[in-house]
Amino acid sequence: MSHSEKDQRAEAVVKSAILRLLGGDSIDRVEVRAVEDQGGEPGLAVTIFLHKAPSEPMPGSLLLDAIAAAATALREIDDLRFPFVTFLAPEYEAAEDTRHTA
Amino acid sequence: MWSLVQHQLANARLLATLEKRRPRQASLRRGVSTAYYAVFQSLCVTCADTLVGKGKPWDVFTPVFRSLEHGRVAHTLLQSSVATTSELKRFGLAFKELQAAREWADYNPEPRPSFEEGRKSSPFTREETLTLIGLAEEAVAILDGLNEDARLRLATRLVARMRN
Repeated sequence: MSHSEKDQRAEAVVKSAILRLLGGDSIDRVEVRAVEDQGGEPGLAVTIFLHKAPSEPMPGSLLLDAIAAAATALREIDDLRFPFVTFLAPEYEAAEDTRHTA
Repeated sequence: MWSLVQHQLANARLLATLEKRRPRQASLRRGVSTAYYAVFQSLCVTCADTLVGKGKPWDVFTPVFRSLEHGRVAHTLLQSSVATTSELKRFGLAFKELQAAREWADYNPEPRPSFEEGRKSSPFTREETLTLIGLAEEAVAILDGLNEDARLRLATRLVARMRN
């Protein structure tokens, strides 16, 4: 299986697992892409874009459920990459001083 | 829960909510890092309490407390021989996610990869930071809920070096 086929398969099973867990109503889209972790190990960055921010930040337990669902789905296709999951919504507050200036 | 761990989690929340308007990058980064260290030190004290014992002299307690290595712990926790229950599996997953976030918070000046392509350009948003702190609280609760036998087996695997 080529790298790109492996990534496509991983993306499909992760998206499906996340939608099964959270339902589709609140989700705008899920993006999955290959990354390396800090130790140089291959991983997957899974970003769940919400239509709208919930009234409270996503609970840690739900983040853990999403990681577990994605990890289980990946293991079922013998893909042992770790899914690093992030929730993002349009209203989320970014830091004020993000750009380094020389 | 060890009071140091409890207070680290409380401090992480304080940092994440310190600025009433847009949060400072430094506050969010330190919030994420502090949340990870609460989990790591919770694991360190669990190992030392279990293998050495509470109230034992520092010269035997501290070496075990300090014997855990970040990368090795994350790797070991995800091994099938260690993650033998759903709770241990969840703990390992939470630890790995938090460790990666902490590495980014402490060392990487860039926005997180997903943010550049998304609608935000920020290392962390306030909400992501609060969710990661919630994840750390979840992980500490899992660790606190382990029975004596599970703690002993976990501590042994994390501290002892196995021959290949």
